[in-house]
Amino acid sequence: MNVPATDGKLLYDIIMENKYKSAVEIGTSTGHSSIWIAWALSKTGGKLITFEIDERRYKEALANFEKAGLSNFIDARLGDAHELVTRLNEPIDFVFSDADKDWYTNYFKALDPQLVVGGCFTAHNIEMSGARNFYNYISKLPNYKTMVDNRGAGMSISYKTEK
Amino acid sequence: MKTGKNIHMSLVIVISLLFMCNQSYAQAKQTESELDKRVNDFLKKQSSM
Repeated sequence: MNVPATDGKLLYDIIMENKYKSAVEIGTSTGHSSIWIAWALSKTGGKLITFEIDERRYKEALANFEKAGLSNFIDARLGDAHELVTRLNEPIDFVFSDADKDWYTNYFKALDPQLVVGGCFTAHNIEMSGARNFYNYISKLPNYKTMVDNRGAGMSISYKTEK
Repeated sequence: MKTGKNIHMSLVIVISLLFMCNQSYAQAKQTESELDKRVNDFLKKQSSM
């Protein structure tokens, strides 16, 4: 399912306002949110790494990136994000998590060491049960400032304030 | 005489550089707006599906 345009625009604005360059997306699906993210990165001079486990959706996303003219700004990877995120070791400015909700906390724990101070971790459908557990976890962390935007499907936005 | 010639050459170089910068900037702007148009068209099509 596509992210609502409100959420897509929100992702775009966060990246533009903070001039983020390195972004990671967990759960490409057919690439709708990736396109919003990569569109912003095309202006900041950045690149998106996005993970998708389903081959059919992955191929559809690749075709969509081509249609939107954003393929050069996206490194789409097919595979299980549970494992693939643990292999990332470069600094990350921005994360958008939109895969299995009950794994959000694990995705966060895997990527937190790579997320730079001033960086941002966003999570979609934050009102869903598994995602809510993640929100309860991250909102209590003293080195993250977390807010929720409910104009679309509900997104938590957490800025890293300290190491 | 020689100094005058040097100043003239320097001016020609500076003006040429400014012209080239302006052309590159205009080209970059055009490419950017073409990409914006392509993404906008794609997103519009998606939302109407």
